[in-house]
Amino acid sequence: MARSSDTLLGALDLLVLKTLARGPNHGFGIALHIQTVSENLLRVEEGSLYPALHRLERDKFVKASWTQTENGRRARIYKLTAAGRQRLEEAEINWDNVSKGVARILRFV
Amino acid sequence: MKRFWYALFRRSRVDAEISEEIQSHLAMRADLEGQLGLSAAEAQASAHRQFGNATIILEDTRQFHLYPFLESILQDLTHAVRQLRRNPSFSITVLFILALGIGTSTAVFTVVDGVLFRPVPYADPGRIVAYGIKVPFETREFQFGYDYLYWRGKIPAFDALTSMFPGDQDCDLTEANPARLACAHVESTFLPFFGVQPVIGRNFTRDEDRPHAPPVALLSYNFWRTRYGGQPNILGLPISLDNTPAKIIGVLPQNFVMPTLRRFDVILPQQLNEAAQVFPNAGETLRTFARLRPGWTPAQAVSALQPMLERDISGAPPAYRNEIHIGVRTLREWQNGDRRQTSWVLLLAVLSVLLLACMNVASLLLARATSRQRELAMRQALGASRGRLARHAITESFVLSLCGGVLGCALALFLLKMLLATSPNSIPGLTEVHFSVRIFVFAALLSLVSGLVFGMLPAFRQASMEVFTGWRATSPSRTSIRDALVTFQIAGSLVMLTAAGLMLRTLSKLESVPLGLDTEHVVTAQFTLGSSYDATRLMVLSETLEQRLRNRPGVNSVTFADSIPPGGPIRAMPFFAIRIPGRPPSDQGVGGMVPWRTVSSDYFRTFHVRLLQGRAFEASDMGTRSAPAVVISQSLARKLFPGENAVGQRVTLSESGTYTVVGIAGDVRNNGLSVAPDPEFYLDRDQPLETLRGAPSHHIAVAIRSTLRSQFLESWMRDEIHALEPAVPVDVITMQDRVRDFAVPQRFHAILFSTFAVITLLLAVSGLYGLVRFLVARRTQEIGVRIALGASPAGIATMVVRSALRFTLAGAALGIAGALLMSRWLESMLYQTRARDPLTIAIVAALLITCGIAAALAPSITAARTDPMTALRTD
Repeated sequence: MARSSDTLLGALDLLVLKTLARGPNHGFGIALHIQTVSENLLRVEEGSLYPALHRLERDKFVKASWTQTENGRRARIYKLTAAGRQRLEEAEINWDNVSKGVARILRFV
Repeated sequence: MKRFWYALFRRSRVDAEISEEIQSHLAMRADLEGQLGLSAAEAQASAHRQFGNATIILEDTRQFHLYPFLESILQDLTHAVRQLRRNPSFSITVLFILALGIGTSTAVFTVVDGVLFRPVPYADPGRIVAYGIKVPFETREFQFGYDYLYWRGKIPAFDALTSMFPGDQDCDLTEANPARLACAHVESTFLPFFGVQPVIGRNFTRDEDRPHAPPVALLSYNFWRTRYGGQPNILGLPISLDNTPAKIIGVLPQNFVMPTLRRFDVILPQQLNEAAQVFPNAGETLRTFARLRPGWTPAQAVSALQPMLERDISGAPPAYRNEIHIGVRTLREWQNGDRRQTSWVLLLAVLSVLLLACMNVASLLLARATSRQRELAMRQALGASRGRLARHAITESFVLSLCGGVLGCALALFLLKMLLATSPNSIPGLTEVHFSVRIFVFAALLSLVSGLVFGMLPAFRQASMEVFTGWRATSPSRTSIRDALVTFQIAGSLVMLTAAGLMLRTLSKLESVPLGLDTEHVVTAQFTLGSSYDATRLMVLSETLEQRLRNRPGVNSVTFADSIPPGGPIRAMPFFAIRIPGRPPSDQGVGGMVPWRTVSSDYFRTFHVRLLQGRAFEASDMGTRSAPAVVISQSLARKLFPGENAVGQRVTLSESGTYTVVGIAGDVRNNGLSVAPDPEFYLDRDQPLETLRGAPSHHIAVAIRSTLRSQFLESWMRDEIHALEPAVPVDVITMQDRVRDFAVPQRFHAILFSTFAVITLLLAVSGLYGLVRFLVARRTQEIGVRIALGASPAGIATMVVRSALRFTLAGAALGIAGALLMSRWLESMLYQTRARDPLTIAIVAALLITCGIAAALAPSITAARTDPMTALRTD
C-alpha cells in the first residue's frame, strides 16, 4: 500500500492538517472550516474527507477520539500529533514550491 | 499483529464506527441546514447530497483499518465454505475420498517413519557405520577380538572405533523381587563414541573395562524408573546380577537406544581380555562400529579394509578365503536392512493411492466446474477477473484438502489402533500410537500438496463466454483432461491390483509351505530359567514337568527341546567342522551352517517329523557313552554320505565327540518360512552331557500333542509350569499360531496392498462412471437424434459401453506397462512368486475390464432409454 506523498495529491492532506493546526476538530468542522475560509472556492465533496482523515490517522499524523460536542452530539475529534505538525511543515514548504513552480510555468507559457 | 486480529474479527466494529462518524457528520450538517430554514426532510436530503455516496466513502475509509489482501482471502474462504455447503453430497464425497487418501498415507508414514526418516539419537549419526567381516554363517558384520585390536588405529577411513558383545544376553537380578534382565556388554569407548552422556552419574572408565575389575553397571532410564522409582541418589548402590554384586554408576538418557535396537536394562563393561586375543580370526566375536572420517564413503572404506583382511586370512585355504568379505554399512542401513526397501515401496504405494485420490477429486471438481460454467461466465462478465476466479477455485480446494486432512488424521489414528490391536507384532518398533509433531506436519503438508494438485486443474480451466452460445457447451480440451485423469486412475488401479495379487499369492505360497512337520494338535511352551539352575536341577525340573504333563488325560506325547522349528533360538555350526572319521575333511569351503537341537526321544513323534531310516533315540543309547547317538536330517545325510547308507556311520561333531548316526529324519523348515531348510542334526537331550552340548541350555521348550481343544492345553501347560516355577514368564502358543506368526510381514503387506487396491479400484470405477454419465448427458441431443433416425436402444447402449471400454483398455495397457516397470521393486517382498507373473496380471486386467463395463452399464441404459422428443426439446 503506497503512502501517498505525491505532491499534488497531498493538497487535501495539507488542508486538513492546516485546519487541525488551529485546534482539534471533527470531520464536519474541518469540512466547514475549509469551505468558509476558502469562501466556498474549495468545495470538496464532504464525504471524501473521511478516507483522507483515516489515512492520516493510520499514518499517526492525527489522533482521534470520541467526545461529546457542545450541542450534545457524539463526534470523532481529530487532533494533530507531533509527527503531524512536522508533516504539515514539510507539506507547506512542498506546496509552496509546487505552486511557485506551477505559477512560473503558467507565466512562461 | 493487533491490527491483524482487528482485521479478522473486528471488521463489523470498524464499519460501525465509520458509519457512526458519517451519521454524526450528516446530523451536524442537517442541524446547520435546519438553522438556515430548511424543513427536517429537506435538511436531511441536502446533507446527504453534499456528503456524497456514503457506502463508497465507507468502503474507501475501511481499507485503512484492514489488510486488503487478508480481507479478500477471508472473503474467498467464506465464499468457499458457502459454496461447499450448498452442495453437501459433492463435498462429502470429496472429503471422504481425501480422508481416505490422506488417512492411509499418514498411517503408513507413521509405520515407516522410524525405518526411513526418524533421526538416530546419536551425535552425527550420518558418519556412524557398522563394519567388519561377513561370513556365510553370520551375514551381519562382526570382528574377531584379535583383528579388532590389531586393526584399531590402522584404518585411515575411520577416526573412532567401538565395540560390544553381539547377541542378547540375559542376566538375572538376584536380589529381592528377582527378575530377568537384558544386559548389554560394551566397551568403555561405546557411549562417548555415540555421543551419549548418562543423565545421572558417569560412564565407566577404561580401567573398569579391564578383566577382573570391580563390576560396575549403568541402568537404562526405564529400568531406573520402574525398579528404583526414578530416585536420584542411587549412585554407588549395589545391584546383584547373576549373584555378582556390581556398583551402580549411572543412568542413561530416556531417548537412548542401543544401535542394535534391542531392549536393554543394564549396560556392563565388556571387560574384553585383550591378552587372550592373540590369533587372527579367532577369539571373542565383537560387533564393531566406526566413525567415517569426513570425505570417506562406506565403499571407499571397504576397499581400504580389504588388504588388511587379506593379510589376516592369507593362511586360510582358498575355499574359505572366497567366502569372507568386508562389510561397511551406515548405521541406518545396518539396523534396518531389507526393511528399508520394503518401507519405501509401502510409502510410494500409499502416496500413489493419494495421487489417484487427488486425480479423482480433480475430475469431480472439473465436472462441477462444467455444471457451474454459466455461473462462472456470469461472474466473469460482471467483472470478476480470471485471477480472482482461479483464486476462488484454489481456496475451495484448500478448504477441502484441509478438512480432508483433519478427517484423514482421525482415520489414520483409527487405522493404526486397529492394526496394533489385531497384530501387535506386525510393525517393528511401533508399540503404541502417538501423534507426534512429525506425523502432524506430514499430514498437513500432504493436505496442502494434494489441495494444490487437485485444485490446479479446475482453477486454470475456467469458463469462457462460449457457454452462452448454445450447443457447443463444452470446450473439447476439458473433457480430454478428464479422459486422461480417468485413464490414469484405471492404470494406477491396475498396478495396485497387481501388487495386491502378488502379495496374496506370496502369502498363500508361504502358508502352504511344506514344513516337514505337522502343526495340528500341538501346543508349545517356552521359558528360560535363571543361571542359578545347574544341570541336575534342570534335569529334575524337566523330569517332573514331563511326568505331570503325561499324566494329564488325552495327552499323546510330550517332548522337551532347546528350540522349536521353524526357527530358533537355535545353535549351529559350519558344515566344514563336521568330519567323518577316516576320511579327509571336505574342501567345499565353509559349506553353510548346520543348525542343531537337543531333543528328547519323543520329539519326532510329537511333531510328526518323519523318520525316513533308522530310529529315534532310545533308552538303550544311554549306555553307549563312547559314541552317543545322533539323528541327522535327510539333506545332511546326502551331503555327508552321498550315495551311501548313512545309518550306522560315525561323524565327528566336535574336537573329541564322535557320534553314531542312528536315524535319518525328514527335512524341517528351520530358518523361518521363506528360507529353504538347512541340513540339520539332533542330539539326545537325555544323554549325559558331552562336549558339543556343553552346559545344558537354560532355555526350555516343551511341546505336547493332544487331540483336546488347544485352549485347555494352553491353560494346562501354563498351570503345570507355574506349579513348579511360579515366577517364570512362560510363552505358550499353539504350533499353528506360531507358524502363522512367521508370515506376519507378508500378511501385513497383503492386507495393506489389498486395501490400496480396493480403494484405487473404487476410485477408478467411480471416476469412469462419472465420466461416462457426463458424456452421455452431454450427448443427449445427439443420442436423441440417433434414436429419432432409427438407432436401436441396444446399439446406443453398445456405443456408450464401447466409449467406456476405450478408457478402460487404454488405462489397462498403461497399467500393465506400469506393473511391469515397478516389478523390480516388489521382488524382495515376494516369495516363490514372479514379480512379472502373467497369470496375476491377466486376472487383474480381466477384473478391471469387467468393472469398467459394469461402471458403464447404468449410463448406457439411461442413454438407450433417451426419449428423442424430450432430448431435442431441452435447451
